[in-house]
Amino acid sequence: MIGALRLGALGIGMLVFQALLTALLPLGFRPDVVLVFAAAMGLQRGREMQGLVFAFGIGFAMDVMSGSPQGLYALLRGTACAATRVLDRALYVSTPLSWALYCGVYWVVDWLAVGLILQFLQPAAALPWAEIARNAPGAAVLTALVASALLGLFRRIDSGSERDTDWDSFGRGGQRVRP
Amino acid sequence: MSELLRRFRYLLSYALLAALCIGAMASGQGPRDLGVASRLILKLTLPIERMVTLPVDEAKSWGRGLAELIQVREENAELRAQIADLRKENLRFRENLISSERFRRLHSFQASQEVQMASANVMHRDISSWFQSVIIDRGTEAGIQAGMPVVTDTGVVGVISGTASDASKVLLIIDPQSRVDAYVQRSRSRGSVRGTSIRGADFEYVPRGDDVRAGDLLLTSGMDLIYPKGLVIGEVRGVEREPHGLFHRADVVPSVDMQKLEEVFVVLESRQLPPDEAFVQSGEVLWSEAAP
Repeated sequence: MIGALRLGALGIGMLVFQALLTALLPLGFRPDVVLVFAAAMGLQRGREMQGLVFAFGIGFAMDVMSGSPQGLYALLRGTACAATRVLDRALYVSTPLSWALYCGVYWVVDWLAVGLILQFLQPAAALPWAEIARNAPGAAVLTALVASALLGLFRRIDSGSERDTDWDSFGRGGQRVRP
Repeated sequence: MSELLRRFRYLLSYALLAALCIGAMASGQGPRDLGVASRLILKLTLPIERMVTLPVDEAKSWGRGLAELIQVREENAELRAQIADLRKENLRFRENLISSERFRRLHSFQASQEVQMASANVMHRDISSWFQSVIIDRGTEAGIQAGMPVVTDTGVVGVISGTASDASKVLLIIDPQSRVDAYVQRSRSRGSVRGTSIRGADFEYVPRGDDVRAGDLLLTSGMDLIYPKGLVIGEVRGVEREPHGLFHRADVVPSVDMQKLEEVFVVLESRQLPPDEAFVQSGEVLWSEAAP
C-alpha cells in the first residue's frame, strides 16, 4: 500500500515536473519524463499489474490535462509499460545505458504513434509533422539522458516497497526472493 | 482455466484497459463535462503545479517586462508619427460614422445585448507537443459550459472543450483539431481557419477568385455557431496560390499570442443548433430526406 502511494506521488511529481519543463524549455529541448515514468513501470517485477495500472493512470491524467482525444495518452503510456515489460526480457533494458537508449528510441516510436493515431481519428487535421520532426532529435536525446538519471530515483523509491513484497523489483533480474 | 487466466492476467488486463481507451477515443471528441476521475486529477495536480510554475512564470514575465522597457524609447518615436497619421484617419472615420448611424437605425429591431463574460486566469499549458490547449481557473461554478467561446481583448483564443466546477479546458484556435468559420474584413471573402499548432493557423477553402492579400484581417463569421460574429482571429501573413484547384490557402498569424496567454474572458453564451426534434415538432425540416 505504501509502495502504491509512493508511486502515485511520484507520478504526480512527474506530471508537475513535465509542466515545469514545458514552461521553461523550448520544444526541441523538452524531455518526456511522463513517458519515462510509464516505461519504468514495465520494469517492475512481482507488481506488474500495479505498474500497468499506474502507467494507464498517468496517461489518463495527461489526457485530462492536455487537448488530446480522451484515452489517447492512456493507451500509449499503458502500451509503453507493456512494451518495456516484454522487451526487458529480450533486451535487458534495465542497465542505465541500455535504458537511456531504449527510452530515446521509444520516444520516437511514441511520437510517431501519437501523430498516426491523431491522423487516423481526424484525417483532415493539419498536423505539424515538419515542425515537430525538426525538434524530435533534441527531445529524444534529452529524454534518453533524463531516463538514465531517473532510473536510480525509480529504484530508490521502489526499494521501500520492495520490503513489502517477496518479489524483486525494477529490473534486478526478476528472480523470486522467498524469505 | 484459472491457471490459464493467471498466466495471461497481464495480457488480458492490458487488452481490457487498451479497449477502454480505444472506446473512449471512438466515443467522440465533442465538448463535454469532465468526469469525476478527471476532476480529481485536476484537484490533485493543478495546485501543486501552480505552486511550482508560478515563480517561473513571474520571473519570465519580469524578464519580458525589462526587455520591453528597452524597446519603449524607439517605439515612442514611431508612435508619435503614427498619432499624426491616425488623427487624419480619425477625421475620415467620423464622417463614415455619421453615415453608418442611418444603417444602425435600420437594424434597431436587433436589441443590442450586453454579452456577459467571465474573466479567468490560465493555470496550465498543454504538456504535449501535438496539442494546443490550456486550463483556466474558472468552471461551471462561474457559469462556464462546454462549447463557450474564449477571447481576450486582442482576439479569439479558443473554445471551452471540458469543464469542472472550478476549472475548464480551452482548445486553442491553433490546435490542429480546431476550426473557425471566418471572413476577410476588407474583401468579405469567406473560408475556414484551421489550427496548425506551432506555426499558427491556415485560412482554407477560400475560392480561387476571391481577393485575399497579406496583411488582411480575419474575423469570425459566426456561421460555425460557436464564436459570435466579428471577433478578430488574426492577420494573413502570406497567400499560397496553387496553379490548379478550386481554392487557395493563406498563412495566418493569430492576433492573440498563445504563448503569453495569462488572462482570458469566457463569453457566457453558448450558440448551438436546436435539436432535430424541435424542427420535427414544429413541422419543419432542415432538408428533405425523400429524394425523388
